[in-house]
Amino acid sequence: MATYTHALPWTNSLFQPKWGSGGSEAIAFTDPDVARVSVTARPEARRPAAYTLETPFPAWLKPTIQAFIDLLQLPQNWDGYGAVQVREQLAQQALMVLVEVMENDAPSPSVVPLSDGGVQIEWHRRGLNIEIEFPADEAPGYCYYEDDGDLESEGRVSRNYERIQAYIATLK
Amino acid sequence: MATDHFDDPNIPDEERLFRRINLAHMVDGGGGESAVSSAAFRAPELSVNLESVMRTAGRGPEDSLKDNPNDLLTSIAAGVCRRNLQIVCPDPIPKEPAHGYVFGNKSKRIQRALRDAARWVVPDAAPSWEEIRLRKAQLGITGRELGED
Repeated sequence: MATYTHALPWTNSLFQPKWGSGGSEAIAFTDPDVARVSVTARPEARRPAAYTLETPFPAWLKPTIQAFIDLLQLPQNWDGYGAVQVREQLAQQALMVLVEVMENDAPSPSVVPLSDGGVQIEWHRRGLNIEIEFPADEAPGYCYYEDDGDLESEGRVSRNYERIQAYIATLK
Repeated sequence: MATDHFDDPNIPDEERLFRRINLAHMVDGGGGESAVSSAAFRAPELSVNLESVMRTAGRGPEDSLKDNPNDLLTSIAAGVCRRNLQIVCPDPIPKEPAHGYVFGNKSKRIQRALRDAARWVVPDAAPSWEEIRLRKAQLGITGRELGED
């Protein structure tokens, strides 16, 4: 099993990924620069569980986690226009939503910082575009649009992810 | 940061406003192309450089990158900003006498409109995603490993 590198102290997070069910194996996220975060899969437990990952874990997960890690390492004023550092809480929120909505074979999103400390995740494939933003002081929102302009939809991210899941499914 | 915002009629609609693009805002556009994230045009007070002020000072557009040489540079016409309910105003600061603002609330639709209307200045055409990915990797700001899609 692969061992991931992980730098986020998200050990109190609860993830119940879509790809998880039944027995699972433990995955440790390690990084020489940070304290080791050991994760033991406990599907029956509500807390504590940082990541409950099972093989095969989705291909999008590793690059996406690395992207969040990279964003969290951006310094103050990373854009030279006075942007603030990305807030870990918002990165965590974004990752949790991804875990909820992404299927195993979903394409990896791009992850970009917002100047207010938030994050945005987005996909652009075959003229189809999805953006989900997690701003610092607004509710998360999403938009879906097509390059030819035929369809455009915006909304707030709520616990009902059906619409977002449907849009992401169109990207495969 | 400007405290009063007013649309300056001395800035013509055709004036180019230069906006730097940090590589963190460059994303995979699909099909081998790169794309500028709409997040690059999200700030209510969007800093730009006014071309007329730079030209008067004998400065070329690329001088907008003097303090941020790893950034890319785009331009957007002041009129496009106004048609998207934005105020265009000068805001000279000691560090950048050509500094100005594109001020206003930017919905997702407006962010995309500004992004789509922006034209490449440096480089003079949209870079490929491969070029961007390699550059990001060199600078250590990519979440995607080389050779990984």
